[in-house]
Amino acid sequence: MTDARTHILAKLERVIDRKDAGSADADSRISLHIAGPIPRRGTDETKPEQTERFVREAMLAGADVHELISIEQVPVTVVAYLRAKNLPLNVRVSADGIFENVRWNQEPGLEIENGGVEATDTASLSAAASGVAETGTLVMASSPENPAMYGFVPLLHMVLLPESCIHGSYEDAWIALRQRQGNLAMPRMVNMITGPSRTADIEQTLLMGAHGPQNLMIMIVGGT
Amino acid sequence: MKSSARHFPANAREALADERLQGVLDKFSDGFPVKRANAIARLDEFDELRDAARDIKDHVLANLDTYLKRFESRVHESGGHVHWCRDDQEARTTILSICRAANARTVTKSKSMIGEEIAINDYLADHDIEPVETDLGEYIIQLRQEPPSHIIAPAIHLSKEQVAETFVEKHTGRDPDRTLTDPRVMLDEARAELRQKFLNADVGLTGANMLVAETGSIAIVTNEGNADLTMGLPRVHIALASIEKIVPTLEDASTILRVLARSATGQEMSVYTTFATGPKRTDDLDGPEEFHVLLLDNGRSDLLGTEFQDILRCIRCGSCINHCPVYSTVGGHAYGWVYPGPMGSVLTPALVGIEDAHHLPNASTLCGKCETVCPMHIPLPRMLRSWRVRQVEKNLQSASSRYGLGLWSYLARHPRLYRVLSNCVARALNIMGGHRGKLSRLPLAGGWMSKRDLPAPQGGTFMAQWKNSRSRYL
Repeated sequence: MTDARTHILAKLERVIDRKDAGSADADSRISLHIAGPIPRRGTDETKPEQTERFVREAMLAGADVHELISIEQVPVTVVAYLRAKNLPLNVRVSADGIFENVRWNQEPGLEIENGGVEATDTASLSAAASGVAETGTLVMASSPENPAMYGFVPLLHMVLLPESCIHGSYEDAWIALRQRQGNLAMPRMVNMITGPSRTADIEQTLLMGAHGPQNLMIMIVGGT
Repeated sequence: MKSSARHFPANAREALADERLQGVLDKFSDGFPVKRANAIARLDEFDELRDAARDIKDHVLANLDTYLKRFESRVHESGGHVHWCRDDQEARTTILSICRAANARTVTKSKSMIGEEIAINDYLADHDIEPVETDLGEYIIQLRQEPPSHIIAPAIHLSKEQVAETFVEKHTGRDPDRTLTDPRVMLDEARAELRQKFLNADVGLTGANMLVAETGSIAIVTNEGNADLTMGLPRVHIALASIEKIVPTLEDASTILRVLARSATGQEMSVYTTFATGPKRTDDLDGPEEFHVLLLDNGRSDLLGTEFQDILRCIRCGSCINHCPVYSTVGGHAYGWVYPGPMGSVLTPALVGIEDAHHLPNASTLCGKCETVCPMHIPLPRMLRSWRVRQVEKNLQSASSRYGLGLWSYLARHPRLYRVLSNCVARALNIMGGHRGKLSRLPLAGGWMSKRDLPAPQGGTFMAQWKNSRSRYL
């Protein structure tokens, strides 16, 4: 295929009208990460306002949001939600460090498993890298601890989001992601998730749970 | 997909006579436009974002070779493969050879207009590999062996009753006497059928909404999550993208995302926007072992530097289609190829040739709504006019429109004759209108007159009235 590559690139070189162009231009644009216009709703708000907006926007997009005072409330919140949705008390939980000190045995009957997601899993719980207030969007960064498929295979996806990880705009979330990755490459999968899976392909009727989760439940934990 | 764009007039007549289709289309025209307007009303900065989005793509097109090379080296660094393809044939053979090397029997697919453009499904099926569409709309039309009728809502032309019939006929493992009337039940049935396909597939084939040069990522936007299951579960992931899909950075991608979903479905953001970078990494518990990106030209580079370059800014939101009075009257199939509506009427002649698609630039009233709603400020009406000019240069119009235009241009150059003739015609029409003052039939205008009456001219011609009363105005 080298042939096609050479052919296409040679042709582009020939036809491109280089008024403002040059590879130095492209390189600097890539390294400077210049942001475009950011809606004021993403830049002008205080931290508590950002949390409030995140909750509001995520709910508008169809997510269920719970604000917790501490991570200790996770098991009871999870169990109550599973019961409300009439789902079995089995959860595939990510190996993210944030869940290390969660005392799952507080809730008798709740079955927790780590590891890769399986086709039969009904509910999963993973940790978000960021939340974006602008549109109530979660940013999930895949890793061995937080496999991307947690967010797609089960009927219910539950996500833990530390309040400190809520940002105003996508741009702020990218800055945080770059800091977190350091010199490492982009995480293999970065999933921006805004509400549960849906389709309107049958006569424009909006239905949740097309292929991904029918419910998206977000737990925001303060003070972390 | 083979083009039947040359049959547009016949296709359109058929669509107009199809009452069921007309019913579905009536419902269509108040769906997306209203949702888009609501979403934009919530965002004061929308126009500023549109300008910025246009500038990003213009900058990319002026540096396309550089960005493609940057993207390629990032994909290599992350352990992926890049395949450059000049045309549809090269793309098909490349995909087939990757599938063969993976011993693939089934390929799951998330919606890709380029997949339609290169007709990959038929090609794979001809080579004993089963392609399975996973976007619900695409899945339905694949079962019915129909092409998509809209770039973001491929089954928009179908009623739920038709979907139910299709499921009863094709989902053979189920009770053939079951009642399927509720869309929820239909969706659950499709979800169950497709879940097994996701789990069994050897290769996942997706499109790409954007390619990020900074990171070597492909960005894919869906509401169903089907693209993620398509790329996340099989052993091999192939992403199919045309070369103009490049954006420099994640920041640039964000600007485009802010206008994309709002323009398309009126959502603030589509449910899933995924940036995928390279294959499964050490210790990852899921993900494909191979990651391939196909960079397809297929005629795009021919548009650079021409009056049609701006169509390469298109992000396939479908907004021009959703607002087009012609599309909402004839539907998507009439256009005869992959891309319907205004953007299709500009792109199709470029990709399949004006000779084959010369009717499409005429399938427009040039009302300009498409340009008004385009998030990338693409001057669609100007480009439709450019195609009309090419049409005349190549002598592609029908004999009657050639003679008609010739006659009109002769008259326009002979004002006195023009005045005398128009005066006679106005009087004749006035008499024909009789006491109703309306005409229900006219020679050469049967199509137009079948749905409307023409008010008969009253009084003198414009020129005569102007002459009589100019002293009053001057």
